[in-house]
Amino acid sequence: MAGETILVVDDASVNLKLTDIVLRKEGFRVHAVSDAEQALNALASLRPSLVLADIQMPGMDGLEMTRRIKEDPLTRGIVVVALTACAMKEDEQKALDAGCDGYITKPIDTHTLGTRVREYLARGCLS
Amino acid sequence: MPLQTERPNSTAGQNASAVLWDLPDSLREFVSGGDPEMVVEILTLFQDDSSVRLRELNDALAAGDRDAVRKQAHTLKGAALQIGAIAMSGLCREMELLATSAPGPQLLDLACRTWECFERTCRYMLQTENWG
Repeated sequence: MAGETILVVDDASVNLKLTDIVLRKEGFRVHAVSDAEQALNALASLRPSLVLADIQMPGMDGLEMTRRIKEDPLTRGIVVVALTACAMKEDEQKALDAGCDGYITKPIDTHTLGTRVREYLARGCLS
Repeated sequence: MPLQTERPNSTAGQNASAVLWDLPDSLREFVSGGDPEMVVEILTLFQDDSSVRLRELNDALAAGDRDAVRKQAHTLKGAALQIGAIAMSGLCREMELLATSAPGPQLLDLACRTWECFERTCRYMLQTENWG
């Protein structure tokens, strides 16, 4: 499972960098972009196993991006995991309603992020 | 870096007792693991990105764009919490919650306090930058 490609989408550069660092250390290949449009463009050529996406982003938000990924027959098989703020419980349900396969709450826990990503990848393989 | 904490002495309101900065264990471990440069890079990113976002937040406030204020406060809150800038994160959370309902002067006051807290946090980070 290590070595799989993860597409990370977050407009907050601190979170984007930290996620990139942690997932690379866990052995994943990481492609990091700062907005949803870049992510959708990247999916034209990149076939990540999992997209880790912030929900609240300027322009297209993570929910709309997820809907588009899940509507497209070419990309609907990609596991999409939302990054949501702890205090925003309603965001978690919105993420699932939009088609996300799960969510990880922020702030990012560097100890557990890799494990959580592997769990979601394993679930994706089963479904 | 000594990785200490400081309590702000000039931050008014309910966040007055909040810790100014306390590097989280998850980042501290990069230091103990022999990779302090990574933490420096993340803290520098935080400072650069937050200063831009705080300016954009002030512009949004001046333009009366409450939704933009809320979104910027949300992102600032998350970044601050991630690097352990606890007092700033609390102020941003307050601003996010009040962005669409509070009177303009109250939001302006909160924005000023957030700026002040951010600057104090950055100064404190610089003062304690001693990676040995």
